[in-house]
Amino acid sequence: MTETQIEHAVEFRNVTKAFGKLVVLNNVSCQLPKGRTTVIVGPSGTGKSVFLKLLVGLLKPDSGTILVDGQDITRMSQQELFELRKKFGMLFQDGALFDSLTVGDNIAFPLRQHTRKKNKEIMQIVAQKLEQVGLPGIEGKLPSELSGGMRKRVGLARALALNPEIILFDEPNSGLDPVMSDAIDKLIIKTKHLTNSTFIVISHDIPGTFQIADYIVMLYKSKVIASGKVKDIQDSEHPVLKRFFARDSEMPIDPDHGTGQLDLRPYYTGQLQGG
Amino acid sequence: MAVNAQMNAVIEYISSLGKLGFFSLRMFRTLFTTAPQPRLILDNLYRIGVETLPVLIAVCVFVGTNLALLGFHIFKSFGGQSFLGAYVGLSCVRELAPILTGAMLAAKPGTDTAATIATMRVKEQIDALEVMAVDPFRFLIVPRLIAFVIASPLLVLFGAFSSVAAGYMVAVYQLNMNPGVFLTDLRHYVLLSDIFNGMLKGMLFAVVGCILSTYFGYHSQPGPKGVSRAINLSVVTVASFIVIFNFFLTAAIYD
Ligand SMILES: Nc1ncnc2c1ncn2[C@@H]1O[C@H](COP(=O)(O)OP(=O)(O)O)[C@@H](O)[C@H]1O
Ligand SMILES: [Mg+2]
Repeated sequence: MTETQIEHAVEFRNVTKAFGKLVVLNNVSCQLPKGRTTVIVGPSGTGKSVFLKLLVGLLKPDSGTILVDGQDITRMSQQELFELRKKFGMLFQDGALFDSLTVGDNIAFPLRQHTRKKNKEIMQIVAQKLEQVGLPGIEGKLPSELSGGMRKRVGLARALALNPEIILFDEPNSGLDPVMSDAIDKLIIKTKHLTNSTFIVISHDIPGTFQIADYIVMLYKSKVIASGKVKDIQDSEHPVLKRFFARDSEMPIDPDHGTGQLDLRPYYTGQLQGG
Repeated sequence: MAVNAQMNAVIEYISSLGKLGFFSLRMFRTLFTTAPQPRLILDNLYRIGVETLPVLIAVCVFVGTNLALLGFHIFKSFGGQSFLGAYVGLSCVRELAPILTGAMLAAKPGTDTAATIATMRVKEQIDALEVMAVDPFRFLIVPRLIAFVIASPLLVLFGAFSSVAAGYMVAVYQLNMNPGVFLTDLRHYVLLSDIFNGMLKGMLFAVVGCILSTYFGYHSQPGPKGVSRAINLSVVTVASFIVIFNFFLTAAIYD
């Protein structure tokens, strides 16, 4: 029962990140339990994507430490970061598939880069991962021939290719119609049952959140305002939480950060790494 | 207020130069510290070298013909037609072939590079590479740099040859010059070192073009606007840079 017995895959300690004058994350601390699904919720523009980018070392925090499996990633060299990232699989907002490669080559990409497996074995894994995301036999198609939902599924198959310990999802539901959105949530739940990996999902889709989450971290106005088990968060009397989960359209809009609109823009990192 | 804005503009400019410096540094560090990837280099060599060749030759041919026509009429006025070979040869080998190679590289594979990398940035594919523990510099940028370096001197050679050959054709078949005079003159004035310097110059233009087009692509702003801006910046900057840089190079090499 006690929280201390839970192992943490990821821990943020007093992490602050600003872009110029815009403080996106302010002294954020949270722990994401190993082998569970944690959903990070918050209105658009509160820094959820920035949170993920910090977590994989694409951005560096201004202060604070970020631990992945107990290792401080903020002090790592570029080389160590690349090594660490082999633990991660990430599904990007629009899949981020390489346009010039077929679906099969996209999923095979991390396998070809990081393993010495034979092509036959790689294609077997590709077929198996495609099966797993419910799209068997589409190896030969190009990403441009797929719908948004299919691209996300292929993106998930690619993220799963190396059987990563930690799987990250950036707004898996955004840009999808409710039916497709629900199907993706179901797919996440199914995938979770097939692996022992830690799932970290970014979302502002409330019903979906309750469906898939074991734990919830709520970001609001650049701070963590609540975190804990789904039940505890759902029953919380915190006014912001209540209004956010009640989908009160007046509440989630954060004048200092986002518009509260569905956020479809791809994000941009003008940052240089390791330079 | 105004002073402040100017200060900001200056600071922004300097920091963007700094960014470009770090970018180039990381590019060359990756070049010298990682094993090259032959498949990627060959792919890029095809797109950068082979696909640029026809358009470069077409342009060089017509520059060569016009040089011959123009030179002939100027030299005729004081009876110096025999210098036509030297004039066409030196202009093409030293100046025009390298510049046109640089310009065609900027226009074709350069814009292609800026567009491809900017699109990958905007569609989060570069982030995806990083998260998949694949260094985008090693995967996207260095193979292009190597291909630009290998292809450019060869392109200069082809360009120089085709423009001089076209000039010769016009001189001999249209202006009825004695072919022996043209060729002797050419051999006498155009030295091996001229050819070598021209190739080197073309390579420098190609390297700068590669750095700038990958840089603008890599740092593209979001959305389709970001991509088109990256392409624009890359081709305009490279083209103007080449022309200006060429002056200083020529001054330094042949003063
Ligand atoms: N690389 C960057 N440079 C400058 N500002 C950024 C950068 N990345 C994100 N931001 C800003 O940080 C804020 C949070 O962005 P983001 O994390 O994408 O929000 P969301 O919670 O919707 O995912 C936004 O205001 C965004 O404009
Ligand atoms: Mg986002």
